[in-house]
Amino acid sequence: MVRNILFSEEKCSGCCTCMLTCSFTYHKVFSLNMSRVRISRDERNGGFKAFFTSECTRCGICVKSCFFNALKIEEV
Amino acid sequence: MYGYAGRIVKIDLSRNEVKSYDLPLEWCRSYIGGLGFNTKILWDQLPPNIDPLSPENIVVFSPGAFVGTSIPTASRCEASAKSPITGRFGTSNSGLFWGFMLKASGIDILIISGKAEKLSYISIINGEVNIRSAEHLKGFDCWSTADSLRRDYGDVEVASIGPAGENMVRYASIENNYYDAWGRCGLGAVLGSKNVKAIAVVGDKPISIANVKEYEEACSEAYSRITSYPLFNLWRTYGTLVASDAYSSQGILPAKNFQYGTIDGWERCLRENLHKYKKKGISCISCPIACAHWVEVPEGRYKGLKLKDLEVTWVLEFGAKLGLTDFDKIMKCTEVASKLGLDCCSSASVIAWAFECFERGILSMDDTGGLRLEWGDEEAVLKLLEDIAYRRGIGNILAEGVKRASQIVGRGSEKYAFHIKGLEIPFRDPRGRWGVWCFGYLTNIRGGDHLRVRAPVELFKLPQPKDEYWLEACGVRREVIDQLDMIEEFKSRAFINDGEYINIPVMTVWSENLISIYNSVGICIRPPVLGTIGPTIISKLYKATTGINISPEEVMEVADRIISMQKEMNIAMGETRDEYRYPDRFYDEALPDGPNKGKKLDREVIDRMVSEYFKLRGWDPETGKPGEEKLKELKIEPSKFYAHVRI
Repeated sequence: MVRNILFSEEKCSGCCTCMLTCSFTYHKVFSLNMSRVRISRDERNGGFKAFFTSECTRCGICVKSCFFNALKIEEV
Repeated sequence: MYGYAGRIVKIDLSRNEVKSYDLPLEWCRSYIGGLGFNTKILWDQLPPNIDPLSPENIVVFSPGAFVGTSIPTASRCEASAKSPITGRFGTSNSGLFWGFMLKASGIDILIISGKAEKLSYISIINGEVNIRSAEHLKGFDCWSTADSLRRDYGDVEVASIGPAGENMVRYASIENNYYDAWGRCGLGAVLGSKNVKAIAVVGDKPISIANVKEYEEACSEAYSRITSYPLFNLWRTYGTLVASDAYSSQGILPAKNFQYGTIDGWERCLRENLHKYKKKGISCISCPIACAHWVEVPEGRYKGLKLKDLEVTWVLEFGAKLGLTDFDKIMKCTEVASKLGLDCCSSASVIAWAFECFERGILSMDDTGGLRLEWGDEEAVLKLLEDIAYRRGIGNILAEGVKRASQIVGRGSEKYAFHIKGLEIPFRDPRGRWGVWCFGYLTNIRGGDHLRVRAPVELFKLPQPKDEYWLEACGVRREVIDQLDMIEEFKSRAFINDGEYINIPVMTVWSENLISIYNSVGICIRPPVLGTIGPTIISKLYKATTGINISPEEVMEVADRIISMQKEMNIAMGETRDEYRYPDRFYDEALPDGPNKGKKLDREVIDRMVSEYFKLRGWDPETGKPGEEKLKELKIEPSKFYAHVRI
């Protein structure tokens, strides 16, 4: 079984709490650069994209931290 | 240091010099961060009698102490300087990511002094600070400036000024990327006077905290409190636009420069219409509310226009105040004012003044260069915004702000200039709904403004008793009051008759103190936060984040300290007791329409309330001067410029 994390651009508000939570969980510090989930913000157009670094284990901590249900775990 | 970056950076533009200092540990306990740090810096370094647009002025940016962490809504960064619009302590607050990136660059306080020889921008990339030529950005609007710097540096956060700042319009804003701003007090003009076009910042220094377990517990408590706020979902859906309906039903819109409390067609600007424009909610970093709306115009002349907007200040200021009753026209005004780098409240107010003067024949087409100024004509508004930003024609007078513009024009126009202490007042008509919010226009350190004095309970459910000034009808259930995170001694005095009423002067002091702390720790003043987060939880969060133990009482004492310092600075800059008054219309003309028709304000009673407010603060009841004893009690170190012991 493969675990994926799905991202909804429509729901994402760009708060980046997922990134802060990820870095805090794994490194006990807050750092957007140390996060394994990355939200890129196209602020001028109100758009957001998510991607995951190669270190990401799909643990789902970012999914739990999202205030807006923009991230979802999918088991395939 | 935990929570803090530990560094102060001072840029002297005249000497083309960047210096770095350690953040004194004792400042953390005494001033916390953000607004507190800015107050301390200006207290120590800003001479009171300088021209705000001279190189002697100092601009300070400090992110709040919680910025850089995941504490809900901890995104806010304070910018302060001597204000060119009021000539007093000027300060403004903005969220998004800029403050986070400053902290992640290893900077708690950024001080900018002097004047660059040529137009410049400041780049702060991973902690390395450089002053660079911005000649290629001259004349660029704020959005193009952000675009250009992002092309050069990638995902930097950009604080910039537009043409309004370059031309030193006295209420020019500093825009925060595209749609946010340090809006009030004309700090954009101060940057313009220093030849600073922009500050681009990005950093990747990690922020450490003192106690992980305590942090997780306190953060989780803060999150639960905020999201359990009874109106949380309403705020997430409509953001500040919830106020549009409330103001309309109370008849307290600022219609046509406060001539009326209602306006035909306002039903198009009620919250139920938001869904036709709104595509999604947008947050600042670490915010669970997402009060901002990404909106697009679906049809009509401005079809396709998209931006972050329909925040209620824009809707009421560019809407009701100027007679515009369509979201799409208001959005167009927002776009233009944001690009030009103009403060929303001040620019809408000065244009409303010009419209009323035109209506009354004080200004003619000879004065306006042939432009007809008519309520509801967005093209006239857009033309004036451009003229103001470029100081063209009558725009050159309007660029001075409503107080100075009315003094220049004269001919009785002063009567229609809506400001307090030189700062244009925002959108709630105090006659129709009196309370802490409107009394706060008077007491606010920065002048006529609503963002520094707001009670943690704000509901219009119960009508305000007629001719009652000292008490405000509360309308909040007793159990909500019981759960408020408020020092008990204050709570027992602020709520009267088992919570039926609020004691306005007491709650004004509490609210000012609470918001000063919010602006020092860097959290947001939206009601889901304001109604749930107080000194107890802030004290827990602060200890967990920084390791510094500070009691809830000590947290509130910091607010008392910084407000007293700001007041002392304002007095040294020329503030007098006479300035604690509303524009005459609010006293002399009854509200002509709506459910609160017939109401006006009482000069004498409100003046007594001002004395009571001074007394509650421990300041001189007549002059409002904090004075030697109060400053000593608050352990405020005298400075070269402001001191109980003059040096």
